[in-house]
Amino acid sequence: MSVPISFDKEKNILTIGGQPVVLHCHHYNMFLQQSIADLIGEENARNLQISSAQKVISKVYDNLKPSFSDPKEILELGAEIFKKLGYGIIDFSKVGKSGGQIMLPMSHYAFNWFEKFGPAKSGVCLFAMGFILATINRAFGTDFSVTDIREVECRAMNPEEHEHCVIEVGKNGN
Amino acid sequence: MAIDEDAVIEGVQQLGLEGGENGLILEFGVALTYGFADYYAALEYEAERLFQKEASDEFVLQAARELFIEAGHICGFNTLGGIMKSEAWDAVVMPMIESREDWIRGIIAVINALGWGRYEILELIPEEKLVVEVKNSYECRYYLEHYGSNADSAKCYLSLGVLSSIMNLIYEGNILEKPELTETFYHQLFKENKKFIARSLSCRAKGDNVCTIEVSKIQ
Repeated sequence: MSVPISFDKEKNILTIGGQPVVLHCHHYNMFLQQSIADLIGEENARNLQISSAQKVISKVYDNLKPSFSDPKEILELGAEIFKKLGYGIIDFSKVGKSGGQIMLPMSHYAFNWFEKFGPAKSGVCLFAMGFILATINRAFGTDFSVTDIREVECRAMNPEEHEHCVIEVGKNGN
Repeated sequence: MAIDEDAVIEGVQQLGLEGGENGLILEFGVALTYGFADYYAALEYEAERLFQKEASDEFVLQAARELFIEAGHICGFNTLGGIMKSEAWDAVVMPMIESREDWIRGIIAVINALGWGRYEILELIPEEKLVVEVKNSYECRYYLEHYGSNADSAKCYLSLGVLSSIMNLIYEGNILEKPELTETFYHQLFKENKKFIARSLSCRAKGDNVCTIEVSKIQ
């Protein structure tokens, strides 16, 4: 299932899966993420960004109404959208109904955060985490939320130590 | 020859901007994403709302809003600056350009391909003033849907930052000469020698019919 990015010439609006998208560069994305943390604190910023991303990606799936019966096909669709929009490469091969481990061999946020600001204090792939929650929930009919996900390795923290970003999903920290 | 906006928009679309093999969109000297409009808007306004709970002082609140406007400066400087230095600009827009002001008309035409809404120049006085009407701004659309139209201040943070960055880049940064877009240059242009600032003349989030922004020279 290929998902096109559509352009409405009358309103000058781009959409994917019925949701408006806008082109922004990494400088804007990194500065906005840092500013949110500066304003409301790391924990609030983390929860706001993950839950906002989960909400908007869930709407994309609602609008696309993928009719796949195999969860694997939903996960593949998610990986395709993530890549098409420029967020990087996402590997869902180690997830199931109870959660699991997701690897990001390339992450827009992790790669560019380090390039722009240097080493991050904690994981920066917050948009990706919300994206992952929405995708897994859609694929398996689960109800994972912001408290069920953590980034255990992030390239932005130390590219020499962490070649990839690794995110874990599971209830009660499992 | 006037700037043909339809041709510019078509030119941007023909670039086929999508994530490559590594999932990144590397173009114009930056890494681009198609970000979700509602995601960006939710971050701005929810963060502002949470911050407002803790800081009721108007001066502090305005400083917080200035952060979002600065994000617009950064966006304009890097993305729009990068576009005006690009081969695509030279191929598509430059043949239509006859004056320095056409650089402004050209980059506004490009903005209209980025999904940010519809920007229309109402007034342009060389080296002095730019007035732009913004329709379908994703920021105000989201604000109206979630908070209504009685905001106590303008909410077009991106547009405010981006439009002043255009005037600063063209009249003070001489982007026509395609300078390196470095952090040092950014600080010179927006912290030390800033000549143009933007202000909202009207904003839908405040109950006005349209969003209008004026960029003028600091007196």
